[in-house]
Amino acid sequence: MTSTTGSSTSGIDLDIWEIVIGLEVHAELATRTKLFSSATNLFGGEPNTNIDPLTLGLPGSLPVLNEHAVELAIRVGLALNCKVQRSVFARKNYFYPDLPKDYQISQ
Amino acid sequence: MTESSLRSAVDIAAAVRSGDISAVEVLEGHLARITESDAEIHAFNHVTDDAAREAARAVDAAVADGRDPGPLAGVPVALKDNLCTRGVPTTCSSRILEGWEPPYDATVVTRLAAAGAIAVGKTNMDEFAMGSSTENSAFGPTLNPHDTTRVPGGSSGGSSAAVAAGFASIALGSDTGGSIRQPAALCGVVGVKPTYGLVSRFGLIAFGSSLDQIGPFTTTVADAAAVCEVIGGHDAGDSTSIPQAFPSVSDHLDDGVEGLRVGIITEMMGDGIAPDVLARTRAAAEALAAAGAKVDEVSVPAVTFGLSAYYLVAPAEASSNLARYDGVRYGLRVDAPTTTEMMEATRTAGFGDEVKRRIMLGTYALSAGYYDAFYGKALKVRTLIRRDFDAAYEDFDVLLSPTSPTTAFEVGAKVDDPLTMYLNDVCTIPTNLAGHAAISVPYGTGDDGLPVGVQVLAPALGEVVMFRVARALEAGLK
Repeated sequence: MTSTTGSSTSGIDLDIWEIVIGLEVHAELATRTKLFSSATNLFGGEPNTNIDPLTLGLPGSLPVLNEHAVELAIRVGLALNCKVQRSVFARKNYFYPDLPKDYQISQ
Repeated sequence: MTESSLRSAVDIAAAVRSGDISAVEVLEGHLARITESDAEIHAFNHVTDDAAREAARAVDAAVADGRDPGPLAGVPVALKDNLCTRGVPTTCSSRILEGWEPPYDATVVTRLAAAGAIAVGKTNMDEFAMGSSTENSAFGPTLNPHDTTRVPGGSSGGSSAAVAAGFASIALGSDTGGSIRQPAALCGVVGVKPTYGLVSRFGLIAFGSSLDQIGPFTTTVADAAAVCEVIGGHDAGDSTSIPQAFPSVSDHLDDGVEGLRVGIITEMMGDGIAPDVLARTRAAAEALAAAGAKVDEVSVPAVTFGLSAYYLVAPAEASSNLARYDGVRYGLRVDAPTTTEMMEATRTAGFGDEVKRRIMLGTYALSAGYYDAFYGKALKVRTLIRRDFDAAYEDFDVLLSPTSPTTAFEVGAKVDDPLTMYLNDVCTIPTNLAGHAAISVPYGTGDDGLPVGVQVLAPALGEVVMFRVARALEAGLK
């Protein structure tokens, strides 16, 4: 993160702007299986072992949300005194070779 | 008992279970008809005769050993080529998936096999289920067994033709906007689109995920009920699956229609529907009235916007669902210097015109700045359609309409005119947009001697009454 103390850096007048900084924090969850599939959630294994039709993006496969992951998310939200709100999934579509379905399931 | 005297799944299963006929004999009769006629009809992309013979022998062994061979023991079933079958090519009749063999079975395929049904092959379809005539297949059209100058309807035209030609006793298809009911009507067989969520979509290659639903083609209403009870019911592998069993439709088939309220949909009985089809639909209404139902007309105004809303919602979902066919992992790859160029070349070569048209329509409808005007507006229309249906179902138990505006049309007649082709589904699309159930029942023939189908529509989970009315129509014809 950058910090600003003066009213101007690199020629931008910061007095006319309100600075809002958002944080995207990622945490690895200790779930037995992956977020949307029943494939094992394990790191350091042989390539292409902890997979199933869904993780490969195969035609006909469907995502099933890991209930335990949702519970952990709600728990961290409550522990941090945050408001837990209803969340919906949306697709973020773009073509990229490491994205099997060519869309992300995002919130 | 002879093989040729058996058509219905209920009759075949009873005969096989009691040992009156072997599953192998039933299968060989069907395979012989495929060998004799499918070179002309082209219902199948792929016939799995060796695996079918092995499965039939296993059913016969179970009967011989006194084990339960299942409620559909020895019933030959044809599977639309968008249902994943382990180790068997699954193409969606598209070049882009040619030769791809899934490593897993769709839930409906697993359930049919567990019930003793014998899968005989994968049926031709409009590419990725986009079409109403099965002419959009990359592997050539399927022809209508009643008249081979005519189309069988679509997109599940291979499945409807397979049942009509006696290649299989039953078949599965998928219905996104009418793709089971319209080909069922044009081929003179029964076709069911169950309530959204009553049949698992796990292993069905997605077209429009909020609309797609798997259902059966059969020669009788009782067969359709039996198949639905086998393939339906909750599946943890599909998050949209309703957590209950398929309603017990078979137990109530012959409860009759005395006192049931049947509404003929006014908006589906006018412009654009051929006079002979209208006449058969009115005859069906009169038959139900004669059997004790209270029949009246009812207006469901918003259904007139169904086609327009559908051609925003379905292509939008398809544009996202079909993104994965990029040449990276499976199916066709056309090599090019960069990854992006490879993807572009693969999709250009691998998809047919109708699929490309809908991907472009859908991508446009979802694009920044147009989303609210197109996709957002279509979702509002969808809500209005559901609301108007709900209002109609306050006064009626089921609704009635033609299934298709015409009987089977000639091969080539509409294939170059997408809008005319889309109008085939004007009576079937509203059911998908609402997530409701509907069944097409053969009800005589039109002026050209070709089959006419009548559609019985029901609210979500209204299958028990829907099947009763369908059975009454079928019984009244005899």
